[in-house]
Amino acid sequence: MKSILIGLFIFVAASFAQAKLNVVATTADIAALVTVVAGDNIHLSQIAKGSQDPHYIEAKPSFMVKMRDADLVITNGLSLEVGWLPTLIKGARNPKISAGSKGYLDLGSLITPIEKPMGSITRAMGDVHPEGNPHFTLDPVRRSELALKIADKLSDLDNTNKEVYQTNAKKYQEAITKKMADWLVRIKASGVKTVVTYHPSMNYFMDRFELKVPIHLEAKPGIPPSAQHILSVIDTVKKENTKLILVDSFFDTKIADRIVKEAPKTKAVSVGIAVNSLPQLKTLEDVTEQLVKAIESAK
Amino acid sequence: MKLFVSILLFTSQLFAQAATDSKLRSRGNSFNPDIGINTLFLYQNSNRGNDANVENPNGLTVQEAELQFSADVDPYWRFISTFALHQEFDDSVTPPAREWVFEPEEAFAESMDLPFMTIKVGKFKTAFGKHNTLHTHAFAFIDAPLANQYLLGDEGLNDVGLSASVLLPTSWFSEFTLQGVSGRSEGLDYFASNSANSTVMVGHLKNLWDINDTLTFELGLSGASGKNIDEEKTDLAGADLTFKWRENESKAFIWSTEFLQRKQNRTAFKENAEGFASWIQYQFARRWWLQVRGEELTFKEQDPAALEPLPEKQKKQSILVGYIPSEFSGIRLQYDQLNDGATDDEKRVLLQFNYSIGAHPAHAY
Repeated sequence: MKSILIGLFIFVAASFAQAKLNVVATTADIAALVTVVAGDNIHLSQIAKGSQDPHYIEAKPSFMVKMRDADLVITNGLSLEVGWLPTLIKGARNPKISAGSKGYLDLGSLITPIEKPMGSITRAMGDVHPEGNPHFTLDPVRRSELALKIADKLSDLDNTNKEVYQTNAKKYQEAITKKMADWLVRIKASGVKTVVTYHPSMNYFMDRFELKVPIHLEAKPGIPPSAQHILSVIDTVKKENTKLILVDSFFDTKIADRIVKEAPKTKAVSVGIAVNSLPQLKTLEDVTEQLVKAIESAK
Repeated sequence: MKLFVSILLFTSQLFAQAATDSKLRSRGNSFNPDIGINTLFLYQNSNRGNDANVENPNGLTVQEAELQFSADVDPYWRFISTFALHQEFDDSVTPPAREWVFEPEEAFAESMDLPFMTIKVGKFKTAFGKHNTLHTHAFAFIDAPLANQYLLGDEGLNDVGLSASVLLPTSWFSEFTLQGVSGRSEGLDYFASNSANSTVMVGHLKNLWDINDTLTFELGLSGASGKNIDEEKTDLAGADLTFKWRENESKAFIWSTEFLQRKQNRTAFKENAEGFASWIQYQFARRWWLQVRGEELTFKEQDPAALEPLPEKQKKQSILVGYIPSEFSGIRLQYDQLNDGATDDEKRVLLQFNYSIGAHPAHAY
């Protein structure tokens, strides 16, 4: 009996000692950023896969099970997950991670967003995000700053690994600063000034590297392009002498190919805009490197 | 000079006050509930709808308009209310009357801060079965399955009461819901006990497994039991099964089947009825759905003295094409064929226009 009790005690003590933070990241990019900061010091799970359009994730009950056991949920915010995250949080019945509580980190609220609509907005404008463009993980600078915020939150909830989190985040920021210098030089050397994209999903990247996006293939965000809009894209591409059309890998390149036929000086490239959206994109830096290479290819 | 300074001070104070007032006002607005309206317009053409005095005559009608308000009450409770505007058919008068009614469909408070559990109090669609929990605009087809219409009533098993729903600590999704309701709301004439102390108990177990990243399997079991108007027992049982496959936002395949059974012990007779519906929804392009449904409803035993006995067996087949350009609008065309033992089958075409404005909470999976 005594030995059973001792065994049980050791087992319980060991399981407490090993208790890692349970963290749920809503998207593949956030999961990648959290991994940079935390390594294997936490249990990390994610909801949206990199190959999925994060606007349209279904609130599968199995995700509620992940959130039921979570100590921390890290979200993109800026209404990216508005169609599914509230349902998951409600279904999880876990007060630790309800919006506004200690275990809920909304990254979008910690950055300065671009394209915040001025004046009143209506749904006739398409899938407009009232708080601004939510695709900020493609900006290396903003995400390196967010790594520090994630480190702060993790340290707050798990003080024992504070040093690791803070050191990793700082190292990441330094690495990004170095890479940024290289990316800036290469993009400048490419001579590319304008790029057309399918959805406003790469605008933070374009903004950071001072590339102009004169038009999107979608006339309105989230609304598939009409024939009339495609004509204006062809017109704009010719007028602006745009050499590159980038299409998110989860959209078809058919429309972009049609434009290239009409405007042969431009080329269409399908790119992954999230970690693991394509098998070779293992990290956020792989995603950025791929975009920089796509721009270099349009020299 | 002194006067000037005083005026300046007074004015600046006035401005400061105005600024505070406007801040308070705008904060007040930000606490207003989310408001959403969903409206369904329905055109029908049936070989049984030529008489304007039948319940569903041919032509264009407002199938239903739902007005929803929802907001967090405080850190502990969320409040949701849905009011429905629709026409009610009254054939107790000659000629039958049609009146607009605006009535609460649901009005309940729900806990937000309890671990593992959600407590709900108010009037709500009970957790009996899968289809019963849906609002009209979220139905898989334009109309509810026959079994839901005949066995649970036009408004479904929707009642006033208390609910507790627990997310079980399993590795898959398993939720158990227990509800106690009055059994005396409109349309629940299969319960409707005369005793104010009588409670109808509803239980539901929902399980959902991820077979892989794209395929899920859901199994639900439901039961409800309570006293009827003769103070005898009425029992309901239900089972639902759904396979859902989604490749991406443009391609999905759903196969759902739901079985319902109602048994009434009445003083003068026994009733035993059961029915099932099975349907397939195939999304073949981002905006397009093609669906088929087959269903059956059988009254094995019913009141032999009923003035208008229900058909012993009804069989219905439906096919639907849906064009859904955005989350907020949709046009659906449905064709039904109903065999209820009458000389001629009912053949019916339905065309539904669905519009949502304002806040619209995400639909459940």
